[in-house]
Amino acid sequence: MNATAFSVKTLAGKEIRDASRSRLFMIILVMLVALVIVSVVLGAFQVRVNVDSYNQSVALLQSIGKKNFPAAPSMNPLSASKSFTNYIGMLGALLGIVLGNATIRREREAGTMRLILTRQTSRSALVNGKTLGNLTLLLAISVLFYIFSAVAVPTIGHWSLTPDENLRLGFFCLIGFLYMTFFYLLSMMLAIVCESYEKALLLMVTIWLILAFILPQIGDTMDMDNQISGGFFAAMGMTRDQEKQVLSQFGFYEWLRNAFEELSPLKHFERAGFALLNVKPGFESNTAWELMGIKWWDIACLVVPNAILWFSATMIFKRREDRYL
Amino acid sequence: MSGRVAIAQKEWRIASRDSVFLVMAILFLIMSIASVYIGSSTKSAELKAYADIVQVARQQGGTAPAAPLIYPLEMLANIVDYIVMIGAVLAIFLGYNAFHSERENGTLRILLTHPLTQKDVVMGKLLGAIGMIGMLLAATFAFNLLLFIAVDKLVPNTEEVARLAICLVMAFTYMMMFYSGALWVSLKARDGGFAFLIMMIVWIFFSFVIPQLADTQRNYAFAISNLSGLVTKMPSETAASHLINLFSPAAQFTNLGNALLQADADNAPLRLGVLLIRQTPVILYLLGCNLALLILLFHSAKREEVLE
Repeated sequence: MNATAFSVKTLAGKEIRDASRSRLFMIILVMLVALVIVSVVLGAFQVRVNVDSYNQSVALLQSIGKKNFPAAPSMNPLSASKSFTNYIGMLGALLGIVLGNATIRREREAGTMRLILTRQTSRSALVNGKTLGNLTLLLAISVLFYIFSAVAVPTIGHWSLTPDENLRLGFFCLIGFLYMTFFYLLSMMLAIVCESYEKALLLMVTIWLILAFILPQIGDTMDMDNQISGGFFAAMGMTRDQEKQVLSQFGFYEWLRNAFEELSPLKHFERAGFALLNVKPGFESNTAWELMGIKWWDIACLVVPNAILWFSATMIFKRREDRYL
Repeated sequence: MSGRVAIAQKEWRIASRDSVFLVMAILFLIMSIASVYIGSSTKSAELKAYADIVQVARQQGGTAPAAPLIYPLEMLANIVDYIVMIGAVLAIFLGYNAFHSERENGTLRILLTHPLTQKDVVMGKLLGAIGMIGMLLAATFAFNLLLFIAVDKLVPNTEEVARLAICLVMAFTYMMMFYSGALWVSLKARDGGFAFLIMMIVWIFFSFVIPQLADTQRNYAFAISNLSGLVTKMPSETAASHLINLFSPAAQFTNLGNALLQADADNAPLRLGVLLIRQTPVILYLLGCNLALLILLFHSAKREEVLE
């Protein structure tokens, strides 16, 4: 292992140790884990209720001598993880923000940044080591969630996941990880750029409010179908084709609504996530890999900004010598 | 009294020099203005879509569906969401550092060498926040009314003005709740960033997590349209979802705000007097939460030795 790789590995390990000692990180993590457990268990129970109800109907038909049973309805076991999207959208993003801000603040406040840089550690190794350590933490949280969901649905819900459903769940967790990474990298970059870590934090929260709450809210409000409970077009008694026909006359309006949503990482996470979990109808017959192809734009809208942010954070940190030495 | 006013004025000056607070305040005002445009354009699009639907139905020789019921005030209802999202965070921005920064700068000790009690210091800070939040909401009220007239070409009647005013008074109560909470955390915490993030967690928990949990307990009845044959999910409250939402001031304020601004189909046709009687428990709930936080704040300030 060369010196740079060793530095990166050591710094990554230090980041994980530091995060595990942070009260704030632990509070958010415990809250996130508790909510995920509650939501997955409740979702798995819902699957179990559906399975039991079907089995009872079959047993009833058998008892009266029937031999032709209706096919089992779609249990959609993946929907047990639906609430995870919302919790990652809020608490996962906050976790990323806290980690990104703390990673720079900690060293600056303790004066260890200067100390580390007196060793054989380059500035890029410092940023990359910190980033890798924190991303490992975020990835571990996503993997743990995957394992928990994959175990809870068959155990509590009494419904085995197919290999493709397992893959869908895995991809969903991966996209959740990309979403949290976006906020981690943005928060770290702001902490590098701003002189005061507190100002960086406030600025980050303001950006988060805009990206994850305000823009999706504007998109939802502008959605005509959202205005009436059960849907505007359904209330008007329109079929999907008629709905499309009417909407085609609102080209600019729909473009504008979509543009607001395109600016929000949360919307990209939701679009890809809801398709993978079959929450949004229309993707039931696609395989996990096909869905990754169909939703490539939403995934790219998370991957590309992450790459740009990582690169920018490294470049800024390398060039802003006055701040740290 | 003059001491409290002096502290309130100082709070104003500090807030007006804080660039991030100003960004948030401007964002709040911009969104409150934009909400009128968004609401208005959505309703216009809805009406135009309805006209197209009627035309299609006539061409096909079918029966046109009944027109969607749209209340003019409904176009302002987005403001309720912005108060829950931006308004509460703005209040946290104002309060999270109120005591911590004084403690860090050593000005708290100097302040208490003057003939001022801990109660006066807290009162002064509260007065400052009341002024700032009150002014922001008064500007929102004025902008909303003016835009309502200018964009929608409608003159609101007395009842509609009263509905908007009561909604913003309750928004003031809601925002002050978060300010008092942030002030209390600022009194207890030794680190500004920590106090801020704790308040953000509290905000997320009450504004999103609890309503989300309540949502999972709602009933979804399936309705089949007799015109198109489409199946749609119709959500309805259950005892469990109602009970869970009782723990969320945000959910209570959202329901009240939507009812006042006629965005809630069940309560929209009610006269204001009837609505207020029906919503009295919610109003008392929000006022009670605020009062409880204020009592906690004054009690803690009195006992907090670091203040001295």
